[in-house]
Amino acid sequence: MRAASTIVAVAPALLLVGCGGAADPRDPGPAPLPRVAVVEEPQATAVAVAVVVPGSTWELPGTEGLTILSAMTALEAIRPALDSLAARARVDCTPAAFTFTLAAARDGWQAAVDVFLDGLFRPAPGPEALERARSRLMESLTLDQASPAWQARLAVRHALHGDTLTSGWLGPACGVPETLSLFDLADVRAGLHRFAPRLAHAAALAPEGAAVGSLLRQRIQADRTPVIPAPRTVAAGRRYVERNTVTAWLAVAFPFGLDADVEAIRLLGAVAEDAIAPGVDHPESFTADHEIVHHGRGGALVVRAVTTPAAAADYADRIEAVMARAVRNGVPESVHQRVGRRHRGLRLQALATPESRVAAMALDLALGRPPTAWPDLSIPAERLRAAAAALGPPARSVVGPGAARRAIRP
Amino acid sequence: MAMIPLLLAAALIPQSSLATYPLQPHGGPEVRVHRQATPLVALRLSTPVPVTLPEGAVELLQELARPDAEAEARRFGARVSLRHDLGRAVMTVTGPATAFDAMAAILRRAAGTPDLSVADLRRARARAEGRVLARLEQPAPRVRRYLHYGLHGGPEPRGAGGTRLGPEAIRRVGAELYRPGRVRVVLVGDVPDVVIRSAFGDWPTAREGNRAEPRFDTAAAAARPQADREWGGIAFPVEGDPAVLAVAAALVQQRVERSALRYGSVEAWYEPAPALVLVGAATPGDSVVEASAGISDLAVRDASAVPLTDVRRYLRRLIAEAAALAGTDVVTRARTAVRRRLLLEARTAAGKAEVIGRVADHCGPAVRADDYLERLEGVQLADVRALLRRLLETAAVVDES
Repeated sequence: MRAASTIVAVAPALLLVGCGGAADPRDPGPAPLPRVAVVEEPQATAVAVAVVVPGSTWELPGTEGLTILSAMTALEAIRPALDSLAARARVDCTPAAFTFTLAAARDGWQAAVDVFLDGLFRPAPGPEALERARSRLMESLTLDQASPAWQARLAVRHALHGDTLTSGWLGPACGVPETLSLFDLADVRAGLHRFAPRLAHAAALAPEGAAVGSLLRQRIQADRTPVIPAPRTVAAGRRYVERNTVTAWLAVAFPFGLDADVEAIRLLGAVAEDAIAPGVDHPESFTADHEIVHHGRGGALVVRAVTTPAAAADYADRIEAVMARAVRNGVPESVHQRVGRRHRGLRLQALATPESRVAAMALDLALGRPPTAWPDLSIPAERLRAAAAALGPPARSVVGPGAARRAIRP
Repeated sequence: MAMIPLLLAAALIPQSSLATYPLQPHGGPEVRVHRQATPLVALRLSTPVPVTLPEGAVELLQELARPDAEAEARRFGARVSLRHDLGRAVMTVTGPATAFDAMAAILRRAAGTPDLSVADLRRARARAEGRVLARLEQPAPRVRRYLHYGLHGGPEPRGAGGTRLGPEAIRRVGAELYRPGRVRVVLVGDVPDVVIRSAFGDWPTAREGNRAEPRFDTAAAAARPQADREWGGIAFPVEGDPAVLAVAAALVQQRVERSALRYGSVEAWYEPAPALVLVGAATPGDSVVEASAGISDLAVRDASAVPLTDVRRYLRRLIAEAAALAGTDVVTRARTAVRRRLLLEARTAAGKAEVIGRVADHCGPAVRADDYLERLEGVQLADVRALLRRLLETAAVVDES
């Protein structure tokens, strides 16, 4: 029998690697965070890297989707090389930020990281890569566009940010089939400039942090910190989109600022979702979920539900009532325990892969928040109450038939 | 450069990324522990499935356990998986380390005496039958299953007869399947040894009594296979190093991917005995398959009197090509690919438990996962060529769909 005390797990170490952006002498404020973060986990069997750049809000009408098409083309161009190294790369798109991630076995990680960074920062795709990217995107977008869920995602953005902003905030960050077919290789090569090192923040996880940190520091220059764009937010906005569907797709969005306690807000989202989730007590509810959307001045907690059209207004009221009670009296202890226990597990599962963790860390850096190797999920009652009090007046949107329109009454 | 100080534990022995140590709880199964500082814990329980069990018996046991297991897992945001890979029943639970006791309890209950109320049994039978028929009615899984039957025997898998076992037979099969001496548990996470011993000690044991073979209902739903093209498969029993088999399979897979065969796969099987298995399909009139018809294969002998279909002849040809074309570079690439796929799979707690457990299941408890990775690095061109040449001189088990 072995002595149990002689093997102890080593906690991951978080290193913030240089390349801090230059401070503005007119507004010294706190020193900007570095541009690169590295987590060292000696027992990791893979290396993961994430690079975040500003998103697609710059896109003017008629150019929707150029950013994602350029991103996918860059990845298609390096896919054969990554496949030969048994490495995987992907890109996730939001209006505020695009996140590229790589996962590679710890054997030969350096070659995979070099291919990945060259593919982003020194891209040279050919027409075949463009056509493969276009084909993949068209397939997924054609399915997406037909779904009320897609309409619902756009509707809540209109409710949050009003109608006067550019299509980049209000339109789909991942393109539409109609414009995708119009771009040629010259357009895509121009679009690839959006992924320049001067615009990037990065994070990595590796068994040995120093080597990968050094590699990233060589690529990401230490000039002014790039800014994730921020839209104007409309207080208590409303948006109704009429669709001849049998169900109503409802969203209630609570805006928050840069200093918000995002993990506590996530738990509030889980509490609201629990209050409207399908079950014997909620026969009109078909699905419920919640999401955090980010932008350069904070973001929003979006709680969504699919309900019968007549019940949409009632469920929207319930969501707001949960938040109002959380501010006044806090979340009931039994609910806090039950939902918190489940939320903790789900949150950790969402960060189970190293590439999802580095993506979260890189996004935190880009948004000016200190990154952590794992989030702090100990959220006592007072922290939850304070997070609820920091939320702004909610916006509402609903997609569905006329009977659902009542949900967006002022 | 801004740095946050490294966090170090007080007493430290460096561990490799896949190293484990055994714990033997009193009256319980052996637990192989990989100690890793992570807020997630992954548990994997596996047990070998006797070939004599009727088709669907394992699925029935799993579907009886599933509702409670999933409901309990949902309380903690944990994930449960219950599956039957050819030759092995596997249960996994992944969730927060703070819920370890509850997760271990999920496995204990799933491996214990099932709830056999009429309603639960009826629901479980329907779900189990659906799983089994899906396996036997889709061409690729059906071919694989029949190749397994051809290699290792047991009742012919015509339908879902094992889902009709009676309550006494269900209890007997479950008690034998999950006997502590048969079960292997792998744990990845940071849980104190004393807690692990407590969670897995005094495992449910088999009841004494009638040990007759379970009888199953041959009148249960029979499979109705469907295919819109010709499917075929060949399986070769293999002897030797599992690492060589894995590299040889990867090498032949590369050959299949470069061929014109649209639906082709190569697998290395290890239980209850090793085999190399190829499955593929072609539409009638496929030029590549027609072109291979009548081609005499390199040094092929087949003792079976059943004539080969074109797809199977083509698969056999691909093995011959792989053997002839294999060079040092090709073997190096294949073994590197196998290693890297395993390392990538092991990048999560659940993936690491799966890799550690699968290596132990396939290669025996004496072979650790990190040793297996070293063995892969040692596979040479001569080893792979020798294995492929032996295959071409071996009587294959053939199947068609």
